[in-house]
Amino acid sequence: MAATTSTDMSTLNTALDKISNIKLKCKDGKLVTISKRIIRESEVLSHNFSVVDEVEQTIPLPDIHSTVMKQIVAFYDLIEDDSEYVPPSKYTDRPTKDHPGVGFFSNFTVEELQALTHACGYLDMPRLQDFILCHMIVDIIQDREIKEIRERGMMKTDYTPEEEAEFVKRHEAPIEVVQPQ
Amino acid sequence: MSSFTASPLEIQLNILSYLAPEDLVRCKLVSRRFAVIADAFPFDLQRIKCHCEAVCGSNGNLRLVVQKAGNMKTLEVTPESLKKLEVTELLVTSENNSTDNHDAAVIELIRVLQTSRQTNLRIVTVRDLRLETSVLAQQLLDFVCTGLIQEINLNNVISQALSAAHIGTMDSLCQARVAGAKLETADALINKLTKDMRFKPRLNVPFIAEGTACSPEAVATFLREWIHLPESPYFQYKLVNCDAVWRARLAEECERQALSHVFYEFPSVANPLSHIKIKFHEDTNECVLFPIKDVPARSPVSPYVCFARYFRDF
Repeated sequence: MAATTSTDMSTLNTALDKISNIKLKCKDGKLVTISKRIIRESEVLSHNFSVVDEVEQTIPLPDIHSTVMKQIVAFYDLIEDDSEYVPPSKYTDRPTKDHPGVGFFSNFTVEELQALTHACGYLDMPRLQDFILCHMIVDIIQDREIKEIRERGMMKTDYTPEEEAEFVKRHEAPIEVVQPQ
Repeated sequence: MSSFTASPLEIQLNILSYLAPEDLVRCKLVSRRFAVIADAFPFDLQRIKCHCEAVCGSNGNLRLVVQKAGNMKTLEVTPESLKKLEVTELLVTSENNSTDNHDAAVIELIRVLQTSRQTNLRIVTVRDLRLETSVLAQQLLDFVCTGLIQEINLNNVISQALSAAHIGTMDSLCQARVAGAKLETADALINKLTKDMRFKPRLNVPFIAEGTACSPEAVATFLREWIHLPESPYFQYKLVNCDAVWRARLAEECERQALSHVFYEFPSVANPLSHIKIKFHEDTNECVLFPIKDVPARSPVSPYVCFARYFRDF
């Protein structure tokens, strides 16, 4: 989705000023109240508010479960004091261990992280998506053995044993180097 | 079971883009899908491709000089920084003034190539190396001879260690200069060319090869295969050590396999306007096989005048 322009931003601010309490009707029919910050962070929701004159206070969200939406709300409550989001420029730009979000997501299962990732993709929320991807999921993969990555990420191999052995031989197995006499 | 391999492509790509190069290589081993994605989106994820010259000195000294793709500048790098680069062309040479053998430097080179996971080599050239331990040459070849190699140029010491199994591994090979290779290896090379002409004409042919004389039987089999191919594919094959005995054996073998020729011009059966020419240089004992596609071969039964040949040659 295209970035929100300054005209859209003023329309968005005007629209948000009119509304005090915004609710999302989730996949399971439950209503989740969200803050104005979440609307600003989501490209989809902010675009919706900036182009439609009369926005209803209850917005249908048929693809996201209320549990996932509540987790997103809880995350944004935690990082209330964070400054404006700047996308990471390289793979080493990662949040530090003392960031409140790291502790928040550390007990999440892979399914929960995956559902959150999909929800972020659906709502187009780059901050949360980058946070989950670059910290939580990359943490599963980084500096770990292949078997461990598969177990933690619950990934099944689609290599045949022969292909895998060949691949491992090329990439992993050290060749015995004979010392010269 | 939910897993990241079932996630949409853009999410998987996003996950991989956060990984360091060494993690990315490991991630490619996790699942075939990750490997395909990592290879299909090289701009974001892959290490920078480069040409690397490894200069082997005495006492295990190894200098690595790289030239990145799209850049003419050369840069000397440490073995550690090679992890951030992907070597596609490797040139192994020796220092001009070194007098000792290069065993220690080659051990270090193999270690550096392994630790930096250089598994995407396409062109490998090895020259002027002096090795006392023949196993080292074997190990270097074991590492570089993969299905991705397209060109391999070896000097005498290394090419003696090249085996038929190595040739069989190199599926994409289309240029080989292996002076001093064993007879078995030379036979494997010409047999590979014969096979590729028939089954992989668009991938590995045209084929350029130089090496020691293979057996006359293999050359005759190659000639018989070529003359029946309607495409009459291009190639160039240069053999050395083709003495008078070898030439006599080749003539006998051609007669045995009923390959008719006039002055070593073998007409194509499938394409009347092309033939293979074998040219012998008796002073250097060299022999070159190459196809000619514009004029027919000379005929033993009707010695007609070929004006095309006349105008081409004079």
